[in-house]
Amino acid sequence: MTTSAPTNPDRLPPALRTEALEQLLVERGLVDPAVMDKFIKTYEQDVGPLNGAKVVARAWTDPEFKQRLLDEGTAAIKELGFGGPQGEHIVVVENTSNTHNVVVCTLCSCYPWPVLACRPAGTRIPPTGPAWCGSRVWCSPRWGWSSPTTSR
Amino acid sequence: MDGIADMGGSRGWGRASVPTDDEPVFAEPWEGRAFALTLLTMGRVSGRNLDAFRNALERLSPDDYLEDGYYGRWLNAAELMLTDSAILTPGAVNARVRANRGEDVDEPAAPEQDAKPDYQPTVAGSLRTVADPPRFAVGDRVRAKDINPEGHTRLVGYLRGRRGVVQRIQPAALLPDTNAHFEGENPQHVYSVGFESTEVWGSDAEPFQLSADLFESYLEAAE
Repeated sequence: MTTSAPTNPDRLPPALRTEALEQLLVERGLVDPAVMDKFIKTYEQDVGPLNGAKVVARAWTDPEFKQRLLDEGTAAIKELGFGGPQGEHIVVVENTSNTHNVVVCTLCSCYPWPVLACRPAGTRIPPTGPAWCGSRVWCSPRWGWSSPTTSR
Repeated sequence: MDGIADMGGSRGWGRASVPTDDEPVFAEPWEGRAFALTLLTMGRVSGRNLDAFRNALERLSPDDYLEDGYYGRWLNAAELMLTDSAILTPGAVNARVRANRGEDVDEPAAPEQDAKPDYQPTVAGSLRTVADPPRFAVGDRVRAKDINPEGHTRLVGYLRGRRGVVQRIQPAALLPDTNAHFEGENPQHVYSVGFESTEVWGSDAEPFQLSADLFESYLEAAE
């Protein structure tokens, strides 16, 4: 099993290494900067937590949609046009007065991009890796939140 | 593998910051570039897949995992996948940075022959069908196997050996443990299993129920 090389004391900043990697791949025609621009624009402008907010707002105003959302989350979310990478199968759970759900990824930090966008900084701050989501939440879910009667 | 990513339940990582309403998707332009480069790298350029990307993340050295922030970690995993597939020569990225700075460095030549894995997904995404019926039913008591695999796994360390109850049968999916290493998709049934916090974290744990999605081969019947 190979691992990446240990740190050099004069570690180079990731901004400069990103620039260098892009140059190396673009020079050889392996990556098209225009495609990169498109990805970035999509995730900056089209994919975001407002999509998830629209789903929740619809559920507040449309009881039948809410039931479909709880029964078959992926299909109900698709009705509003949201789907794609990291949204292949979405289960929706409901918070109530005595149940509070906290959804986290404990390993690599996956996140439901189509409805919540890329992970917010607070859940991926270095040096935390999968961050409090990956470490603390699993053993102390109330840490940082109000205290529900039952958390799941 | 039980790499640095498997930090669930560990303490000492400090406090989380509260997200702000106007938080940018990418705090700095390079983060967006690293994000896009990694997406293109994991499939198209390196010939690998999402599970291999996750395995690359957990194979990073502690410094590469922790020192460069979230998208720096992605960048480092992308570079590892590219050297794994012999698209890039180790050290090529750092050499280019120094050359860009005007330092007198010999940039290593690109490998003459790539080493992309012999891999093609059967269909897009991770969901698959399994002909055999699920081994476990909702309500069954199960135990997560106490294993210590050398390769990639989605069975987190803190659940191994713990007993829970099947809450929901999820759609079947390819098995990341083999797919990450291009050893086949091996689709399996997936179960949401509920564990009591005290079963996982001991009798002093605050009371709550933890649900985890687990592949069938991670589980055995429990009394």
